[in-house]
This record gives sequence, C-alpha cells and structure tokens, in this order.
Amino acid sequence: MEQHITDLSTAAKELYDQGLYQKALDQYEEIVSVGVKDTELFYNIGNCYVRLGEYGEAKLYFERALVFDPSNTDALHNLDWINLRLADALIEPSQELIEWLSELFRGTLSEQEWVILGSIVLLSSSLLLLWKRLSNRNINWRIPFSTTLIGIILLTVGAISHPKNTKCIVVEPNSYGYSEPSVGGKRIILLSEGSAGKITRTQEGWSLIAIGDGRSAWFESRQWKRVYPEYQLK
Amino acid sequence: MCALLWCSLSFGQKAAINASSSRTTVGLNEPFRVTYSTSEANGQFQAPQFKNFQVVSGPYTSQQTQFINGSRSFSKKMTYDIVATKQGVFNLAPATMILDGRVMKSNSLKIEVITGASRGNNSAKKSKASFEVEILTSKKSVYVGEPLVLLFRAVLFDQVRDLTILQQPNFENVLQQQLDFKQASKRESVGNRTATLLDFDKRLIIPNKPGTLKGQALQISAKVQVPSGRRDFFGMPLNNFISQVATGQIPSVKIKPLPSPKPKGYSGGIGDLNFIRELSRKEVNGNESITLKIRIEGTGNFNTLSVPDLIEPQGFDVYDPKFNENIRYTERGVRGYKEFEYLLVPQLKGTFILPEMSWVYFNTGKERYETVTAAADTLVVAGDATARMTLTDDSGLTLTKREVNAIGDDIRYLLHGEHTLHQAYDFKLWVWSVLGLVLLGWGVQIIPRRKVKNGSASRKKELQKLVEKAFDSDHENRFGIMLNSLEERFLELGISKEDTSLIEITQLLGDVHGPAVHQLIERCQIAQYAPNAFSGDRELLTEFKRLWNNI
Repeated sequence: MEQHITDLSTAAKELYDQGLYQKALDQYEEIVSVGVKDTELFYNIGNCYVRLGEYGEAKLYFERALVFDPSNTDALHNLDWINLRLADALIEPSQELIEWLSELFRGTLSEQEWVILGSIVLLSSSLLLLWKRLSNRNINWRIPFSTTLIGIILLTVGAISHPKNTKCIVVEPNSYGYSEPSVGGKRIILLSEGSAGKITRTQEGWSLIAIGDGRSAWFESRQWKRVYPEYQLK
Repeated sequence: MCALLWCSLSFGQKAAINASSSRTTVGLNEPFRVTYSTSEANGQFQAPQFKNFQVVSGPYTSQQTQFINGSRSFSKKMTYDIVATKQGVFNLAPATMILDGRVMKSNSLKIEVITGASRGNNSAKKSKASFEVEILTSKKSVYVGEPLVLLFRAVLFDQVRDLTILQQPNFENVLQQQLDFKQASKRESVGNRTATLLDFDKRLIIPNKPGTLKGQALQISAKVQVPSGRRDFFGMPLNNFISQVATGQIPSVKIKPLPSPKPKGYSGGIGDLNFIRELSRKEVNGNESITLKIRIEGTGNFNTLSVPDLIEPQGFDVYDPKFNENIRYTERGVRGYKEFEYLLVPQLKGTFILPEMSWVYFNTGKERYETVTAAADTLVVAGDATARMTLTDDSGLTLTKREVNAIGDDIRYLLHGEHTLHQAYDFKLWVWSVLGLVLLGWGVQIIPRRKVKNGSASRKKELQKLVEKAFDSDHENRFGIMLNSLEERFLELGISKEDTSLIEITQLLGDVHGPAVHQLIERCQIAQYAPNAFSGDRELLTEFKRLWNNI
C-alpha cells in the first residue's frame, strides 16, 4: 500500500510539472480515497485547484492542510495568495478562544501526540503512587500530585486541539443565502466562491451559516464544504 | 355587389412597380439614370443594392395626381443617378414595395457596361472636361518610412455643384494620416482655359515597403451644368445639371529601400531626429532621487521607431519608466518627441558611472545612417542611502548590501513528503483507562500501612541521617540525639536503656565492636553533660558512623 501511495504521489507530481493539472488532481484524489490525510496531500490538491482556476476548492484544501499543521508556512502563503484574489471582500469568521487555543496547540503537537504525552505522564504518576505504597518509601506526595496534574492538563490540551467542525467554504461559483431553508424564501445574501462561514444549524439539504460580518442566512448545503472533515454537508 | 368586387380586384391588379433605365449600354464611370415608378401612394419602397454600380446622387422623388374626366390617377417616381464600377453585362436587381403585407417586385434591368463613353452625346461630350481631379505629391521619391504629403485637388472648368467623393484612394502598404486642412480655392490658368483649383484634402503618407506607391484611384462626382437646348417663356436658354464622374490616379512615387547593410543597433528611426539623455541632477543625498529622461525628438517616423532602453547605473534602484509623447502630423512630416522618464533612487553611498549610450537612425536629409551618442556621466551619492544595510564580516571588512524587492507573486510549489495513512483513533477508552489507573494509585494511598519487616532498616537509616544532620548543623543537643539514636537502636535489638552495660553490648555485638560501642555511649554521655569541656565532634561522628553499620 505504501508503495502504491508513493507511486501515485510521484505520478501526480510529474503530471503537475507537465501542466496536466486535472490529471494530477485525479491522482491526488486517489491517494485521498485510500485513506491518506495529511498536510502535504491537501496542500498539493489545493495547488492543483489554483492552477485549474477553482479558487473556492483551492481555499478549502489549503484550510484542510492547515488543520493538520496550522503553522505550515507554504499553506499559509498560498491561502493568503488565494484570499487576495477572491471576489468577496468578506471578513473571515471570527475565531473563538477555544478555536484559537486549538490551533495554537495543534501548531505544537498533533492531537494524537498530546493525548499520548498526557497518558505517559499519568501512567508514570500511577506507577509512582503504587511504588510509594508498595515499597513503603517515604516519597513526598507533591511529586505524584504534580505529575497527575500535568498529565490531566496534557489530556485536556489534547481534547482542545481536536479541530472544530463548523467552518465551511463556498465551492460553487456563487451561493445565494435565503431567509428560510427553501428556494421560495427571500434572497438576502449572495456570496462568491471561496467565501467562508460557520454552520450554526442544518436541515434537509440546507445549512444556516453565519458569515464574518455577523449576518446569517440559509444556504444550500451542496454549495458549501466543511473544512473538517471534508465530507459534504447533509 | 359583383361590380364592386370586380372594381376592387381590378384596382388591386394595377398596383405594381416598374423599373426603367435611361440607358441600357453605358461607359465605365459614366452616370446614367434608373427610375422606379408606381401608382401606389402608401407602399413602402425598398431600392435594390446596386451591385457593381455606385449611386452618384438620388433618390429624387416626384409624384403626380391627375383628374381626367372625373377619374383620378396617381403616379410616384424614385430616381437614382448611378455609375458602373465594373465592365461587363449586369442585371440590376428588382426593387421591392410592401403594400398591405404584400411584397411587390419591379422588373430587373439588364445593363451593359463598356469601356469609355457609350454613345456620342453632345451635351456629355461638352461636359466631359467640366472638371478634373488630381492627387499632387510633395516628393517623387522617398525612403521607406519617410513621410510624404499628398494634396487632393479638383480642377473646375465650368460651374459644378454637389461635389462628392465616390471612392477614397486606398493606398497599399502605407500608414496614412489626414492632416488638419482648410479647403481653399483659387483661380488659375490651366492650359488655355481658366479654372478654379479647389484643394479639398491633404494627407500624410508613410510608406513601409519599397517599390512604387499603389492603390485604388480617387473618384469624385459632381453635377455639371449643360445647356438643355430649350428656352423659357422669356427666351432665356434653359440648363440641365447632369452627374459626371472624374478619376484622379495615384501619383507615381518611388519608394526606396534603406541602404544596406544596416549598422548594428539600428533603431528603426528615419528622418531628421535627435537622441537626448537628460539628468535632473548629478549629485544627490541618499534620501533624494534623480529623474533621467531619454528622448527622441525631431521629424521622423515616430510611430515605428524605438526609444533605447536605459543602461542602468550600479547602486540605484530604477523604477518603471513613465512614457511621454507629443507627436503632430504636419505638412513637414511627423514632428514631436517620444520620451521615457526614469526615477533613480540611490541605494548606496558613493560615486557611480552612468554608462555611455548611443542611438542609430537613418538621416533622410543626408541619406545616411547616423549615430548619436550620450556620453557617460558620473553620479555622486552623498549622505546615507535610503535602503542601505551594512554588514561586517569576520575580517572586519564592511560590506554594503541593498534591499531586495519582490517583482512578482505566485503560489508555492508542491510539497513532497511521506504520506501517512489516516487511522481513526478512539482515545476515549484509553484516556479513561489511564485516569482509572491514576485514581487507583491515589486510592491505595489511603489504605492503612502494615508493619513491615524491614521497617527497622529504614528507621536505622533515618536515625543515622538525624544524627548527621544534628552534627552538621552543630545542634546544641547533638550528643543527646546521638545517644537517643543508639538507645533506640538497642531497644529495637532487645536491649533496654537500663541494660546497656558493657557485657550486654559485647554479647550482642561481639568482642570487637561491643567495647567500642560502649565507649562511644560513655563519651556521648560525658559530652552531653559537659559539652564545653568536650572537643572532637567530628571524631565522635566518624566513630559513630563506623560502628552504626555494625549495630
């Protein structure tokens, strides 16, 4: 499997170098389909979409690349590049404190690594406590207490670093926002591809999305994609 | 009723459109008249396209209503004066008229076009020389790219009116520009006749291919007054105005190629030109800038010549130039200038050379290539340059660098790394297990301690540390602490405080250590009760440590 993925990746890069961006994209999509999800892959898919002129999809994939590595300078550069070229001068949805912390922690270690580190510290703490009891040693209680506390903090950081599932991006050329979840509703907002928002509610093919300036409207879910996970809205 | 219906039908049948021509055989460029007549007043008339012919004048509309014996008749005529533009036999397409939704067509006309005049018409012959048209040229021979002025002149021998340009001259392989010109006329003698010379157009021509000047001739039409041969009520002769066409041929002008071989660096400039390089200043401070202008000026082919690029001096940031031009099309040619204005911003302090520049063009007056040179200049930058960055290397040498500016922007290239298969981990069970283990660890801490066998060993060690700490800190009761430790240890070994005699201790510890320990206890007791009289704390502690391990 590893060899297959490497072959697909190499072929995709060669196609990209030849200017065959759609074919390169197909190769990268095949890598995604076998279960690979990482910064490099999503970044490369974003690049293919840029070359194909689909800035909405490109922005989505650069955002996805940053989910796995929020400090990736290449992805940050390309995302800035895309944002400069988007039609709507829309403010990005504001980040809540918990989201900011989540991104900050993910920038240091992955969610998985935080949990593993916390578990190791807590296990050490448990072993220390057992040893203290069984060996009848006069160990100061502050040591196991501190390790227990550190372990719990690390586990909490791991939980916070789990990406939030509300940010989404317009991937169609444009998307109308309605006053109610129906095309019969009044059109109140028109967004171009690449505009971002936060899902606050979903209902039968429609999503109530809050955009950066504080307004909300019902949009057709098929015109938007969540940054994390990449599945289509339902 | 039947009579009324018959009348209506018969009236409907009368509604028709008829085409007639004044001549069926005409000369090339010889005007003739085509008339369309109908008895309908309300129809919508549409003339044919006159393919292979050109309308000189018209349409002229006339209508006539007559009452004869109480019956009314109506007729309407549309008349066009046209000329043939090609030789041959042509069918003039029928005209159409739409009446009450019905489309009616006229008959078509067959016209034969021959070279020259078709027939001997006295009046036509008379009027043939009534006017002429000619194109006058400023030069008979020019170089490619050298401007040439053409003057369009009508020579009027008789009274004419309605002068119209039928066909503009269409010069090949030239750039032409209409000059600002006010029509002027004057009377002059042409041959043995007096004529009015009417200058009606002036153009500047710049040929771009060698050879001769070619193109489509100039054609104008006018109405010429000719006697009709009839007289009016007062006996005065009556005149008719008939259309006439005159053709002015393209003048014979030789267009010479530029001499070969062309010198290296030839700019394409042709004319009487000059190359100038201007500097706003030659000495600046670091926070000032210099404006440099590169200009081509004079008379020449400004539309095709190229201004040379600046050879940039070291130590300056050169911004994209601003382009200025002022070009006028005059009878003397294309005059004006083309200029690039550069902004030089000093980056470094020092003296810099603005390299020599030269420009090659073809001088049409001297008929040779000429090179104009702008000599090298020295630019002096004093004070601190704006974007200077000074570094010192290991040897203490100072290096001056300039800032790097971005000149473009693009996305970054693909990333290439090992891809990792994504696995959905469920950390919940794992985390709860670890937390449970920790809780267990803390839980066991609250279970009461059991007495353990080797508890005495740790107590022994604690006591030793206690003694050492008392001696290290020079505790006032250090000897008492040592004595208590020994007594507690003996108590653990089954000898009470009261039984710590030499015999008991020797029995317990043997002949080697027993007396020594007993002596240590006695020394401690003495030191405790007379601490000031005792010296040798360290010695006592060393002895304690040595014996303590054997107790």
